[in-house]
Formats: sequence, C-alpha cells, structure tokens
Amino acid sequence: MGQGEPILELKGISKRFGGLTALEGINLSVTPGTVHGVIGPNGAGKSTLFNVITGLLRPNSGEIVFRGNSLGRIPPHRRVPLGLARTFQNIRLFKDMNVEDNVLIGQHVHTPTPVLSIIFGTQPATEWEDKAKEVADACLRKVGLESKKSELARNLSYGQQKLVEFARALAAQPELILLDEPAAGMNVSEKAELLHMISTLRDEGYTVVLIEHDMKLLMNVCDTITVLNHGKKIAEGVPRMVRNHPDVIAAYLGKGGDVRAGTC
Amino acid sequence: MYYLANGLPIGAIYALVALGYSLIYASAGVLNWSQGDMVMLGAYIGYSLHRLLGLNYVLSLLISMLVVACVGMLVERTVLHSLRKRSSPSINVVIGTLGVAIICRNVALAIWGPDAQPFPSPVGSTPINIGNLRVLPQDILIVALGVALMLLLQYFLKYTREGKALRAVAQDRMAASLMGVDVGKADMLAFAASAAMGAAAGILIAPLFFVTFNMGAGIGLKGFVAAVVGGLGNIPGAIAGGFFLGLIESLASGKISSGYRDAIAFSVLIMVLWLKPSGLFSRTTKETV
Amino acid sequence: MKSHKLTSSLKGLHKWVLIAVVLSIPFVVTNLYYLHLINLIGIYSLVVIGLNILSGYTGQVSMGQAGFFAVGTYTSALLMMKLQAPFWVATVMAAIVAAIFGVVIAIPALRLTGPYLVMATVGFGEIIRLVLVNWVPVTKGAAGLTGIPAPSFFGFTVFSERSFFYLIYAVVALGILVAVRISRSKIGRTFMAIREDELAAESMGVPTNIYKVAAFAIGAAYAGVAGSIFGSFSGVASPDGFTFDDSVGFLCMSVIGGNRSIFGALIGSITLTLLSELLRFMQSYRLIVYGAILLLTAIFMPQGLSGLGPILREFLSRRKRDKKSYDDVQCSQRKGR
Repeated sequence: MGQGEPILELKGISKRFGGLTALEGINLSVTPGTVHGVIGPNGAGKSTLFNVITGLLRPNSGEIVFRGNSLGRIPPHRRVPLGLARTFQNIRLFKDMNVEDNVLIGQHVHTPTPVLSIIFGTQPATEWEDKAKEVADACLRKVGLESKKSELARNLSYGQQKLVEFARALAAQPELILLDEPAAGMNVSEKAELLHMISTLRDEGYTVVLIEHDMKLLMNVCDTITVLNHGKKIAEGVPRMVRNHPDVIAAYLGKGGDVRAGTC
Repeated sequence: MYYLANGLPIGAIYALVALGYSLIYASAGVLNWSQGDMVMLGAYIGYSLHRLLGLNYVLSLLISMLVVACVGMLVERTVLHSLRKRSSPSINVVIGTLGVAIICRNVALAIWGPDAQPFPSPVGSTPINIGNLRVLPQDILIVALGVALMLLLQYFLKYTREGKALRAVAQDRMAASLMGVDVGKADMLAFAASAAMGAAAGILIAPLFFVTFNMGAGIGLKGFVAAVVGGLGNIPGAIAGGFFLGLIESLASGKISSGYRDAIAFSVLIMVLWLKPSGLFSRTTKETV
Repeated sequence: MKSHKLTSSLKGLHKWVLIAVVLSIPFVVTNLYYLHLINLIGIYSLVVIGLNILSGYTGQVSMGQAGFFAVGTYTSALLMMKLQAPFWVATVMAAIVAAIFGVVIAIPALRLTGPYLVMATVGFGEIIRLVLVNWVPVTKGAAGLTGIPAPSFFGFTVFSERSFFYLIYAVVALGILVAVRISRSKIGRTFMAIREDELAAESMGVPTNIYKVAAFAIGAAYAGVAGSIFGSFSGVASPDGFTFDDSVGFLCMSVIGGNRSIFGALIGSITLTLLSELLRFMQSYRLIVYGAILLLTAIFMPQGLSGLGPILREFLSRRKRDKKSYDDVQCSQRKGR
C-alpha cells in the first residue's frame, strides 16, 4: 500500500446501547507508521471505539477498512492474523499463568498446532515450541521483563502487568497496535520508559493507536490526535492544534478541568 | 387445563427451592448445593413435630422453617465464611456445600433411620372435583401456602430494612459494603431465608411422597435447574422458572412419556439456555471491556 | 515451570523405581478385593483426567461426566455383544462416540458460563441416564446389560483381577502421558488462557469456540475409554452406575486431587476411593465423616491435594538451604520458586 493510504479507516461508525449512543458517525483514518492518539472525557466512547475495531462489538452502522479489507462481521480472533492487536484498559492478563505463557498466547495465530506431533511427543512440536519461546522472550526483552518470565502474571506490579500486556500484543506481530490507556497507574519513570517504547515502535514501522488521559505523554508521542466527546468526533489534528481547539477546551472545561491539567 | 393443574403444585415446590438458590446466588454469588437437603431436613422436622408430637400442621411448618433457617445460618457462618476468607474458587464452594449435604443426609439417616416415613396430608386425600378436574386437597394447600410464602419473601425483601440491605448487596456487593451495609449479615439472612423456603417446600411436598433421607437430592437438583432457567439471582425469575419446570414436566409426562419426562424437561431447558444463555427472565448482557 | 524439578528428577532413576513398584503391585497386594479397588481407582482416574482437562485447564465445569462414562460403557459393550467387535476396536469406538457426544453438548454450552454451564452438563448427564433406562430394546432398561465380554488380545483373555490390573494401568499410563503432553503444549496453554480470560484470549487470536469444543471432546473421550474398560471389567452395566451422584463423585475427585494438574486426577481418585473404604469401620457414621473431610479439604486446600506439592517442595528446599552457603541460598531460592 502507498504511503498516503490509511492502514485503518472508519467510515461512519455508529454504536448504540439501547437508547444510549456511544459512537455516532465516526470517521477516522490512521496513517501507517504513525502514532495516533484518541482522547476525550470519560464516557466519550473511546473504549467502545476499540471494541468495535477489534470486533468485540458490532457497530450498528458504518464500515471498518483495515489494510484494504473491510472487516465487516469478521470475529475478533480472525482479526488478529490480519495484523491487529490490542491491550486492555483494565489489565486482562491470564493471571494464573506465567509471564512467558501469557506472551506465548499472543503468538497463537503465528504458530501451527501440530496435534499429532503433540500427542506422540515428536520433534516438530518441541521445535515449534522452542521457536515460539524465542520470539516470546524477544518481546519480553523489548519491554524489559525477560527476567520475570517464569513469574505468575498475578505476582507482578501493576506497571509490569501493563508491560506484559504490551509484550503479549507485540507477540501477535501486528501491523497496528491498539493501546488502551497504557500509562494509567504508571509512575513517572515507567511513563518515560513507555514513551520511549512507543517511539521505538513507530521507528520500527508499527502503527499505534493510543487511548490516553496523560496529556504530556500524548503531546510528546502522537503524530495525530482525535478528540471524542459524547460519541462524536469533535476535533482532529496535530497535538498543538488540538490542544488549542476551542471545542476541546470546552469539552474538558465542561467537566471542570483543563486540558493541560494532565491526568484525569 | 389438566396439565396446568398437575404442574402447578410441583411447580410451586420447585419455585420455593429455586428461590433459595437464587437468593444465595444474588447475595453471596455462590451455589449452595446443600439446598436440597434443607428440604429434607424441613420435611423430617415437620414430620417429627406433626406426626410424633402431634403438633398442628401449620405450626409444625413454621417451627420447622425456623429450625432449618438456623441450620442455614450455621452453614453460612462456618462453611461459606471460611471459604470466602480464603477467597477460594467457586468450585470449592460447590464441593464444600456438597460436603454439608452429605453430612445432613447421613445425620438424618442416623436419627430417623433408612425407612421412608409416611406423612398423611392434613387436609385429607379425597380428591375434590372442580369443574371436570379432580384435584387433591394437598395440591391446593401447596399452591396456596407456597404462593403465600413467596409473597411474604417479596414483602420482606421490599419493605424491611434487612430485606433492602440484602437487595443492595445483590445489586453491588462492594458498593453496599462501602455504604455501611453488613454484607456478612446479608449473606447470613440469605442463607436463613433460603433454608426456610426449602424447609417449607419439604413439609408441603411430604404428604405427596414419603419422607426419606435422600429425598433432597432430586428436589434440590430440580430447584437448581428452575433457578438457572429463571436466571440465577433473579427472584421473580426463580418463581417463574419453578412453575415453568413444573408445567413442562406435567406436559412431557402427559403428552409424551412419563419415563422420558425428566429427559424432555432437561432438553427443553438446555434449549432455553442455548437461546438465552443467562436464563429466560434476565436481560442478556454480553461481556465487554 | 513449577514442576520442573519434580519431572527432571523423575526422569532419572525415580521413573524406573516407580514403574517397578507399580508393576509389582499385583504381587504385593494379594487380597483380591483390594486389587479390585486399585483397578477401579485406575478406571476412575481416567475419567478424572478428562475432567481435569475440561474443568481444571479449560475452566468448563462439568457435572455430567458420568454421562460420557455411560456412553463409553454402553457403546463398547453393545459393539462387543451385538457385533462381536474385538475389545480394542470397541474401546476406540467408545472414545470416538463419547467424543461426539462431547461435541454435541459443547455446542449449546459454548455460550454458557458458571452455573448455567453446570446446569447444561447436569441436564446432559441426566438425559443420557434416562435414555438408558427407557430405551429398553437396546439398553435392556433399568436391568442393564449383563455378560459383557472380557477383553481378549490375540487369543489371550483378560479375566483375572491381576491381568486387568496390567491392562488398566497400561491404559492409565498412556492416558497420563498423552494428557501431560497436551497440557504442556500449545493446546494446554490455550486451554488455560480460556479459563483465565476468555475474552482476552479471543482478542489475542484464539478461536475459543474450537478449543472449548475440543476440550469437551477430549474430556469425553477419556471418560469413554474408561467406560469401555469398566464395562468389560465388571461384566455388567446398568443406568444406576451413571447417576448425577456419580458425576458429582468424579468432580469431587477432580477438585480434591487438584484439578489443575494431571496427576491430581490420580491423587483424587486414590484418596476418595480409599477414604470411603478406610471409613468403613465407622459404619453408619462413615458418610458423615466423608462429608466432613470433603468440606474441610475444600476449605483448607483450595488447590486440592496436588496443591501441596509446591508447598512441600518449598519446605524441602528450605531444609536443604540451611546446610548450604549463602551463594547457594540465592540459587536454590530462585529454583524453589
């Protein structure tokens, strides 16, 4: 695909829950190789947007085009091999499994499942397993948690768990990675590291879509920011422009805060 | 009409037992597998009071409900409380309360012996003709007292302080606890009320069958099924589920085959769950993030 | 890997010692009744291994395991009695037919969780039992099947308790081997991910429905094989042997033994079978004590008996640690985790 062509394009996406409209006619296009931020007050529809993109929710209307294919009714698990991976706002790790196994699940679609070889204990199964583990360890190394790979996920700190989710998403070898509030609950140094990691990802050619409340982080890392309020897109553009957009300021001030005030 | 008349009394019994499951599930979020044995205990205590001591039927019913309610509270205090303190997986609650069920069953066996005990109906066994239907007076008593108890429970939940606390816990355990509701007490009440409902079911059904030490297993299972189909934790749902199950059973044994009655009932219920995965009478909500 | 230390030591000398001990059991245990019990334990443990894969690993609690067990028993018995099929053919068929039943129940169960799933599996078990009772022309109804032929291989008939012992435990060994391989493979890992968080697994590309159906099929196939052996072992089969209580019994073995471990299945079957025998002297109080033990285990051992393994290992490594120098302490601490 050409440079100008979007990797992900949302065309008129609407999602209603009963009488509540969570998303209304959202148009969005994400340029490959960029970091695209999505912000908005609580309840603006950000997480719903992610759920619609990953297929956990089906939109009432509109179309999602990812790398030239319409996603339509494709179920969530079949969107992963197309190059889509995500993290969750509230950590959803496999808590009673160790860190390495968590990351290995991220590779599910990229490794075969040699059933007979597993049952008979023959070479192919072990070889694939070793290869998968190498990739998993490489992903863990990227987030700096290789030393924790045998720990149970539940025993890690909050920030570390967020990073494991990050590694798990990386293991899915996505083209586009959706991060749902990755910095929430992280301390200052963890945030700095996260910032560095996201920029590295972009340099490596990944596309990142990021929901975040931490304005400082967003301003530093995003190429484009989309602002949602009450399920509608109210602004979009480069960070500096968005920050000074009157509607954005109104949306946040309406909640009694300042855009520059930082974390909500 | 005939099937309706046949299905109502047994449906009322199932509804009473189902209420027990639902109430506990709503409050404590667990399955209590000793529910059926509360039915058995209720029947035996009622039997002892009514048949052996010659007490009045309704009085026996009330005393028995009270005694079994205490057993229910004891189960909550000892078993559930210990399990909750260790935040055990919910399957352990099932196994733990199953242990309670086995203990109850065998204590009853030790006290009352292995023989089935007859429990004649206090209202006689001459069928009454209503139109062209022949109905046992006990059936009428079951439906009347059963419905009365359900209304009483509704009243308790809606209008008393304790009932409101219980409903608050069922809505949101954490929030209720933060608002100063004693969740432990709510659990205890749920267990007590459930056990009492079960005991009532036991005494009401005893005149239709014999009282045996293992009568709880079958009724308990049916009550569970009714509660699930109605949507666990949903009180009107449990009642509806009970009557629904009674009706299906009556239809299945009348129209198709009595041997396959339960098989048909279960098939219908599995179908129901297939269409509505969280019960007939609850609104389905898909989990999202 | 938690059990790394255990397996690596087992792989050495211990493994051979274990095999020798198991092989000599029929010569040491001369009381035929005890040997009969040991054989039953083997059969039960096969059922429970299947249940552990389904419930412990994949998180799909089944209270209908006796239904699959029954399907296996009747399939194999009828094939041998009506079509004179050889035992091994009948057993393979029993596994396949049970697995098909597993798939059939899995499909309505796919959308169900928690108590709703429990209800569906309970219903399934009861439906199977009621069909066995009522489908008299084929199943002989409540009276059940009698004269189920003994297994025979190459003209050698397995008849005595002792020969059954070797047959049963050969199958158990094979069953454990396959189950352990599955549980430590990508398949087992995916099962666990579904147990831990189905939605997250799906979001990471796991076709959760396929895996859940597979778990049901595997769990049912184990019960089917066990059922086939059980039929030939006891020579008779009646619907009474496959009640809801039996399903609950299997679930108890699974949870008490520790349902997140394959060996837990063996531990659970041994413990509960022996317990109910050992308590026999208490006569009518036997089941009261049995219930109390069930209750106490559920409360005080949330991971089941096999959950004691890591604790025990920790304790042993701590004792070793005391003797070693500081450097070794650090090292063994890391290993002991």
